[in-house]
Amino acid sequence: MQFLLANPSWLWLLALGAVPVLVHLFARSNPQKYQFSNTEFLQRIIKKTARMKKPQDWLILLLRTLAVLALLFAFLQPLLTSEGEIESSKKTTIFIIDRSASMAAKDGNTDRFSLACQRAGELLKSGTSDEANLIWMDSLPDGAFPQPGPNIDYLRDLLTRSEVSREAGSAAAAIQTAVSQLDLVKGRRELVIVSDFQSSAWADFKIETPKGIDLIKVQIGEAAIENLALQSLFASPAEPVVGQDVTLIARVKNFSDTPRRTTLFLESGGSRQSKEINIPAWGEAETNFHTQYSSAGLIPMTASIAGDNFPGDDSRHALVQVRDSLKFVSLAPDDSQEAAVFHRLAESLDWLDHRSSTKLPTPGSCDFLFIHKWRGNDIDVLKALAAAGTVILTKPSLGLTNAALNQLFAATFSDPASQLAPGENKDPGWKARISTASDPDTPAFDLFKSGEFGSPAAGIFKARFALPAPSDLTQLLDYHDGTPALFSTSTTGSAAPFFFWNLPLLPTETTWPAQSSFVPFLAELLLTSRPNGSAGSRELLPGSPIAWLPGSGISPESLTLETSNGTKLETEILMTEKGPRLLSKSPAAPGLYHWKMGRGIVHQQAVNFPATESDLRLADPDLISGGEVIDASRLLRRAALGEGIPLWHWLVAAALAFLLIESLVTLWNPKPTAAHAA
Amino acid sequence: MAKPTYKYIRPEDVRRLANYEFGVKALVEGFLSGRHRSKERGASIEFAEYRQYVPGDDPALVDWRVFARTDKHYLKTFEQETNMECHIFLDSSASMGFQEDGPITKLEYASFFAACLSWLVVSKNDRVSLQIFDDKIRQFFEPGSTRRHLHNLLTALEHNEAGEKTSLAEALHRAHPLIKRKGTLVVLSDFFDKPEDIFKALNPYLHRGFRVHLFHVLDPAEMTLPDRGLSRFIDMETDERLVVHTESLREAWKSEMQNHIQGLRKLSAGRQVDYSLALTDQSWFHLFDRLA
Repeated sequence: MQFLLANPSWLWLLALGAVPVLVHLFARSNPQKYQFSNTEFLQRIIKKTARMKKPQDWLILLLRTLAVLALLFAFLQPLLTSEGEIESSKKTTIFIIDRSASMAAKDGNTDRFSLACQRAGELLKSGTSDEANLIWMDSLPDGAFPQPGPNIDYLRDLLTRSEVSREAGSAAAAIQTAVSQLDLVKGRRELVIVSDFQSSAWADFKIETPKGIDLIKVQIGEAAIENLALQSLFASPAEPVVGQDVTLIARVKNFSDTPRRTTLFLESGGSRQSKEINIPAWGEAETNFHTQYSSAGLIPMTASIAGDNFPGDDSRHALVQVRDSLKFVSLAPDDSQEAAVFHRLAESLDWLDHRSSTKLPTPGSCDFLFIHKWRGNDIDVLKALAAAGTVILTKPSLGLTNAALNQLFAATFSDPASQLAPGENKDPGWKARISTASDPDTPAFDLFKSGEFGSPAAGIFKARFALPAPSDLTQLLDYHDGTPALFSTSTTGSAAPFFFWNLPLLPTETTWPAQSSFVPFLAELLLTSRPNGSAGSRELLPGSPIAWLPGSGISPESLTLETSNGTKLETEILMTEKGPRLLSKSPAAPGLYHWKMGRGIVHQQAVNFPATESDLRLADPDLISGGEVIDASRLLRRAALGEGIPLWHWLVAAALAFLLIESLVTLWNPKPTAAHAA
Repeated sequence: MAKPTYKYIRPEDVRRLANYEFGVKALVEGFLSGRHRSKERGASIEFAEYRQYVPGDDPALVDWRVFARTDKHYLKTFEQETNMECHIFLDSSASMGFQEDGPITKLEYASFFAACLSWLVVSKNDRVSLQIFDDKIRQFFEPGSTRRHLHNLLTALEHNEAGEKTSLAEALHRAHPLIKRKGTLVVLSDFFDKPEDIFKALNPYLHRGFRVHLFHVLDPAEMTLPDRGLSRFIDMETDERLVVHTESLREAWKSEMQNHIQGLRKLSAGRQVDYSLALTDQSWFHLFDRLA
């Protein structure tokens, strides 16, 4: 049997046990002086009572000292344990410390991450683990050691030096790393997760650990913290051409019970605009800024709101790729007369670059693809092109089956097995119009609402395919008899729409290209049909390294990476199949980054605060399946309790007993003995 | 010339003292005819008795009428009416300077009483003497009954301060040859002496027929021991130091003090000495009742 102290660092407290003795000695050595008329009587009395009083005084002193010592010992939390138990089991603990961006939130003066490190440090200091390791839970969790080790002091030191990241945390990856390390360990295994258990990250999370690993959840943070966050910033369209109206859209979310009002600032292309916005409680507000860019290039934009308790998400960056032209490819031979119509169209529009090709372009290499005689082939390739943002316009050919149409347009045409109805010819032809089934607010028709530009489908059409009107597609133009002339799928995110083109283009079949409304309608149609897309390719997630493939023609050695405030970052070059790839050595923090050659900026990248980290509400760790929830102080106590029998309550009881006896002894007033009194 | 004012005689005290008598029941010796009867035979108008002539008697006192009737020589004696002598012993040792719960020190209290008594005695044309002592007689004033004498006494009281160690027995012993006529002995002291020693010193006075009044002057705090917690008690007379906790000794102190007072009372009663306890928070005028 032996004694253990749960709080050995407080051993110095025992020195306070000397306080009663010192008080006794000092109080007696220099008591208050009092001039009295006669001390002879006092001396006589003392002589009479000394035989009883002196032992009484010493007894009182002894009892007081014992009471104080017992109380002080109780603070040390002594445990009675057997020597054998401790030696037999080796204990390994892995601490997963959440250092995701939400841990920067402050509960009072201390942020959650500092508090988490402090708690983990205390638990490490308690000395209950023989070996330990720390795993930082951020976007790419990693451990302090490759395997748990005995160097606890290093881990404690590391905890004091670490800083919170501005990344989202990957709980699954962190737990997996910890479990894989614990799998290789024998003896008692413990996994302690120290986190704020942010609701957005943990609410539906299920912690699964192998049998034999004690899982403990220690929650840091007490309540939700009010926060106003810039959740997104983007341009519509994502890649405008020079001179095109661009809408810059910012969304602000209010993570609090009270409606908030703030000013949103937006800087882009050298201009700064601001707007007051009201955000409802737990709601979102979106505001638009309109601008035009006069030159092509990658233009940065930054939105910001007034700072609050959680400043990480109060600003956001985005990059707008302003194009000088859009690429239009006609899938037709060079001598195609139909392709020539679009060639002439491109000559009329500064921002349109047309070429003919007999091969399908690669995804992302053009903005528009017109298939002049589509027979239903290459559907997967076309879908891939559309997914990459290329607007596909298909003019059917004889032999096209309804099944191919169904597949491409994800719509139902009559009798999928049969072929498309044969083409019709009619002289003097049909007239077309804006479809009666079309949405009057379709952007392509905005220009024609006033009537100044006439009908977008003016002229005579002498050839067409007879089709039933598709019910679940967007009809744009139709013939007067209801036969659809132009319809499309909807634009979804970054995927471009498919158009079914049932309008003739040859001069022998139509007078439409010669009409004054032809060019403006097609210009509007092309510009408005482009997907909004996003600047995703130029936006990086925080925590990952900043990477860029400069491509041929640029020497990677000549490039430097700088932050927007001019701080240079170290980079390394990786050789890949696509050429040299530049990587920053440190993970990216939110901000704007410039790749520079000399003083000139050749490329820019933006890193934004992870939107999921802005919601600072906490999940109830009890509701997260797996493990046990214990607060840090209880864990400390339990760490000690697990090793032996706690004695603190016995010591408190002993202290109270000593004080009770002391009171009784103090109250007892010895009478002078008869012999002395005489 | 302005009437002198004294610290220990205040106008209100004088007015109050006018109603008091001193020693009206006492028979004392004196050499002036007056209010007090003396057992000494002498010339006066109050007949006492006849006694036979013995050689040495004044022949002028022989009653010749009785001689003519009886042929024997008888002397006609008269009770002599004299003035009274009051001898005040004022303890001025250091312990008399103690003050805790009372409004004034014990010495001041005793001085007030001594001053008033002196005034009262002199105002009735009796004689008063004063001994200011600690372990020796510091000042001695012969009996006197003049205003000048009273002034001297009051001035001495005003300039008197608590002095050294006390020894009442020694003071009484030394004062005995200085007091030629018997009278009333008034002792004002805190009696921190052994009672046996005090009464041993009083015996010569008692044998000479002195009427003795002991006034035990104490501060109320001395009856109960002041609540000072753990303190270093310094004896005002001997400068001895003693660390005690008053709380633990209070009951024993009360008991010891009561025993001491009882001892004084018992010895006083046995020798027909008047003993009074005078606490400084009480008026000293009630002490005159003991002297009536």
